[in-house]
Amino acid sequence: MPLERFPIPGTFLHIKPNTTGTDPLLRRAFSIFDYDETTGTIEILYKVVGRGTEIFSRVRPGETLDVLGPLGNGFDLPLTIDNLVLVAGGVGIPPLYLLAKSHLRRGFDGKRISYLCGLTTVAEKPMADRVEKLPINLQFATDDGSLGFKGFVSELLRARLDDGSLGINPVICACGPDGMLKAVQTIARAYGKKCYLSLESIMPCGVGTCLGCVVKKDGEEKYVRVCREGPVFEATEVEL
Amino acid sequence: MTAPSLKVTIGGVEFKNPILTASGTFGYGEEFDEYIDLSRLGGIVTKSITRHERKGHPPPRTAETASGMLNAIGLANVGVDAYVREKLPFLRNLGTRIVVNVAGFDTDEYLYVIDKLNGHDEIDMIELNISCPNVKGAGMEFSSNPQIAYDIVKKVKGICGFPLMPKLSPNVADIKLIAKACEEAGADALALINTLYGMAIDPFNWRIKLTNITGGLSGPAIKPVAIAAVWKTASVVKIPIVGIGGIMDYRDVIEFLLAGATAVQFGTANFVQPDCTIRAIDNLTDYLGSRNIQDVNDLIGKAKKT
Ligand SMILES: Cc1cc2nc3c(=O)[nH]c(=O)nc-3n(C[C@H](O)[C@H](O)[C@H](O)COP(=O)(O)OP(=O)(O)OC[C@H]3O[C@@H](n4cnc5c(N)ncnc54)[C@H](O)[C@@H]3O)c2cc1C
Ligand SMILES: Cc1cc2nc3c(=O)[nH]c(=O)nc-3n(C[C@H](O)[C@H](O)[C@H](O)COP(=O)(O)O)c2cc1C
Ligand code: FES
Repeated sequence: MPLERFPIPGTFLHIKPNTTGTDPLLRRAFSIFDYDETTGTIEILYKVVGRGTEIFSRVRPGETLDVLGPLGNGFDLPLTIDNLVLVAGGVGIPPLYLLAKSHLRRGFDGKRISYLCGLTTVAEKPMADRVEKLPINLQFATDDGSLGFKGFVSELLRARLDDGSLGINPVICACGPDGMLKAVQTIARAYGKKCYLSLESIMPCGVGTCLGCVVKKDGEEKYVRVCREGPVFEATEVEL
Repeated sequence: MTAPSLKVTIGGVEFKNPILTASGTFGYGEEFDEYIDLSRLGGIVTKSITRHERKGHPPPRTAETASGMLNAIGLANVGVDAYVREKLPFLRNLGTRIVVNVAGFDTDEYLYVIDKLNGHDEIDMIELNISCPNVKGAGMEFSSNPQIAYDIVKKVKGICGFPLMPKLSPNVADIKLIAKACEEAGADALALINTLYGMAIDPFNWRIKLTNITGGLSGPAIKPVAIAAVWKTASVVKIPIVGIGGIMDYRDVIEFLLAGATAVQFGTANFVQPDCTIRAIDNLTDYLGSRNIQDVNDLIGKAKKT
């Protein structure tokens, strides 16, 4: 079924890996990657890491999947911000691509969007194909230095904050592996920058009932649901 | 031909159909309001509540296993006062039966929570969780020893203003003994089963998947265990049994009824398919109609030996 409205970047779909059997049993969560306004088509970009994603990789065009969503709270960023800095690591690319696209579409100047894209090596570059087509400032970081900055994308963020090339009052949005998010969170805190993190967590239900997907609130003996209160949180809200 | 009757009666309470939702898998009901018409359900069993708010265990709290999942949520809940203040109002006038699941770490806690719930007439029944496997000291031992089970049910029954349904654990040598003890102590019905003890380890990084180490196994993987528990229990008690464990669709519902359950609860299935209960009600109706069975009660305990 086509989606009627441009989705909120950062929201996700909960997709059933199999339509008949019970193994694997639970749905898998994927950020919305792209949306085509003429057809209402939604796309996800995913990496095969286990049984569920392996099954998805064998789905042929025209087959039907059981999809629940869009779910969760995405990025809620006004167009009045000065500069937008997107920090993506690996499968963290999709929601930040949609965020850039959504801001451009609403008239936000691409010169004020920086996309720092972290990959392990240049071989993963095709994951960023769509991002490359956007009229924004895109920079790469690879672990082995085979493309762009050599090192973690969080270190690239630090370097660009230091040289001031991200403009005034940059608002940082990050999505990627836990270690990377933690590093970005630390940097944002140290530099006093506003920062949003899109978290991942194992999500049995995706709709807020099982209490399985929680993350700890910062400074409080309390947990919040990644699927419902998140997956996007202000960096100061959560303890990673 | 008239539509078949799906009504069942448990502990003097009439349910419009035998399909309920299981505690801990349906939140406090409100989470599912946007997905299904709650008024169509036979009943809603809400998340276990305790005396005080509980934050629950640190994550990861769940892990998927073959046709099932492990959970160690740790009885995270808002506590009875907030439950009465913030959750009960939503449950009033939903047009379905409300069963409140109560957990405790000692007899006093059960009595305290029940006392706070007494008098709230939106509640139709109490499900007594004496079987949580993943919180140390929470109920589990209450349902592993017949004498202890008898004592707690007797004491709670003495003050409980609602029909009382203890929820039993499968992690016992003989569930029949516990079931009989509960019946003798005055239980109006029995719910079974809660989750089975389980554990999972990642073979590549050697890490135990749950922070809590062990958790409760649920989902289709446990259905045969649950069916056997219902069958055995039904042979020794007269009070109605509500069957739980791995139910995914109407065929599973029928299996439980044939084994001797009067009603069932859908648990893990709600995570997979939010409208699983509604589909099961429709399909069960069609099944009865197509076989000219006028009353769903005619299925109860009718399993035939081969
Ligand atoms: C809100 C959200 C958005 C996501 N967006 C994307 C996306 O756009 N693209 C993408 O490729 N992936 C995304 N993921 C991760 C994706 O859900 C997991 O990769 C997927 O569930 C793995 O399923 P599997 O059956 O292939 O692997 P499994 O066999 O289930 O697990 C393989 C490994 O992945 C881990 N894992 C399982 N589930 C998750 C999970 N939900 N999050 C993180 N690790 C998990 C397991 O612990 C295990 O180590 C997202 C996750 C969340 C919560
Ligand atoms: C995530 C999760 C949380 C649960 N929480 C509770 C609970 O708070 N109290 C309780 O009595 N049972 C709890 N249960 C057990 C279920 O109510 C049910 O007995 C069990 O899951 C078996 O049914 P199923 O296989 O249909 O899920 C929980 C189960 C799951 C999966
Ligand atoms: S995935 Fe179930 S509460 Fe978030």
